[in-house]
Amino acid sequence: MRNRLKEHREAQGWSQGELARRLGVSRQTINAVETDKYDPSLPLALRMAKLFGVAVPDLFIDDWEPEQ
Amino acid sequence: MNAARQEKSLARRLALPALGGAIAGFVATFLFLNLTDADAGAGAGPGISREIAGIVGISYILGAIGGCIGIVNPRLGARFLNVEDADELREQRRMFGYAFTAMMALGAALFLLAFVEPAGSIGGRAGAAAALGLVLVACILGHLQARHVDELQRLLSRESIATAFYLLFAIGGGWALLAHCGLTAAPAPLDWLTMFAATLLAGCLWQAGRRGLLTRGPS
Repeated sequence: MRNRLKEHREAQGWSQGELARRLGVSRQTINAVETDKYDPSLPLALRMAKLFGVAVPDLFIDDWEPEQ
Repeated sequence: MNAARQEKSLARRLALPALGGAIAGFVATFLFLNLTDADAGAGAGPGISREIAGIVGISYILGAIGGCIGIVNPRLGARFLNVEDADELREQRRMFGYAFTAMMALGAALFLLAFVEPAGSIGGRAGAAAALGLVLVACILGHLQARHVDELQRLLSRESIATAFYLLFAIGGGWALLAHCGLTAAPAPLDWLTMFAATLLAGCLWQAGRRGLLTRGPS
């Protein structure tokens, strides 16, 4: 799933290591999320959104639309 | 342009560990095969089962040694291990330490079992006690390691074990099926132990590769 994690992280001037430390995960996980290799769990996605002060859909982009 | 440069840098980054691993593996395998020839027990010849068990054990031990070198010297380790940089090794030193020591213990257990009588010269009771002790150490270290892993590492671990099970089901199960039908010789107990270790290693590599985590580089 595409996401804007890198964009938000860089806007805060944080390194991947700094963001990993704030979220309590490894740098490998931050890197994997930013490069679309891993979709985080719902609790981690919520923590990321809370940390950047945005809603989850602003951070993670899902193109799915319900059928009419 | 940047992507092409990064890909080239990654290829260069992977070339050294691949070459180093191939040379170390070749030398260790050569020495091991000479050792098994010298250690052939009274009852039987060296046997393909113990040779494969020993080679899989050596693969575990060499991987663990490489990891331990990285923990002791992160700057050197960052050159050949699959990490972003030396800081990643420093940050996760404890987790990697438990993982690589457990890997070494499992590899040593399999390697040791390749030298148990009748094909080798180590007594059955001594071999069983030593191998069980090493497996117990690996289990305790694995339990300690679990306290230091995050959700991605936990997911990779679960998926690797699932992949290992499917591989074991296909390879070991297929072999046992053919043996039951009288079409081939049945797998020896050591073959099962080798298959457990080999499929676990293959499962880990498969899952890490599938997620593109085997070609990590500076972002």
